[in-house]
Amino acid sequence: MSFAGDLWKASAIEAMRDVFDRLVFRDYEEVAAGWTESDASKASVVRMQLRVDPVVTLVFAIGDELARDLSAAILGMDDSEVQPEDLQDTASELLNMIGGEMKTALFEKGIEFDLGIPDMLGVWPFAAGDGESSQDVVDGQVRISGRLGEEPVELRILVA
Amino acid sequence: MKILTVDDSKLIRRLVKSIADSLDCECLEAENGQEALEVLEKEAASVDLVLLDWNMPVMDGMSCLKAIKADDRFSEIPVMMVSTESQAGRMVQAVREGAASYVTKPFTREDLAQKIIEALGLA
Repeated sequence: MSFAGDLWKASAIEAMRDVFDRLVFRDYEEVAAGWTESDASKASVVRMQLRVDPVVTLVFAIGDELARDLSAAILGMDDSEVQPEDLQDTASELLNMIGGEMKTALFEKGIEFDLGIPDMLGVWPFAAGDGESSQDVVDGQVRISGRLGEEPVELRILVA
Repeated sequence: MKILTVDDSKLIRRLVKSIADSLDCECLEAENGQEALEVLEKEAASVDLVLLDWNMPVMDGMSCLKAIKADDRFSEIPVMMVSTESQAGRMVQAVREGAASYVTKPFTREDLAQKIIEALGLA
């Protein structure tokens, strides 16, 4: 099966908009400037491999401050009560939700896959400055950069 | 009343526990389907509701649901499936295998609390 990058990209953007809107009533906005080294230094990074041919991997990163806000919103607690380990849990669960919404949307386009289990990467696995250009489908990689307010969010869709 | 939440996400387990606390319910936790069956071995008689995630390591939610419904000791316990996937086929499969209800993530705390209240007959 060939990789329909534009369909994957559209489904990912829509999934992120929907997840953030439904969880915290906040607007996800795409931005041209991508993930920076500074963003990566204070972020939670998780990965999920999808069971599809060719293999697709989602890498998701979210700024720690945004992850803290989302943790607090999901758990119904104050920001100050959120523990450091909650940030990675939140990033994992967000990627799970985004992947699930992508699966539903792409199923309707004839693309089927099963979700894997999110695992924590800890560090941003791409080269510094790699996120400087606008999001595009290039060399089997889809880059989607966004913001919720000032807080950065990035999703990469990698094709084996 | 007692709720068993089965999810590999600690965040979701904490969410369910906080809702259970607000309803004066006890909350048991398991990280996957296998652990859930082990909890039920000890606690089945007192569990009023199982919230069961679909996508988990070790034993996934569908396998666990089938095991629950195949065991006379557990089969009457209502199971609410929780999933990020909203395809109609998945929901039909869950209900066909005996799930009492199906909840799709993402949900707010209020959404999930309402579903739990309805499932426990507290409305």
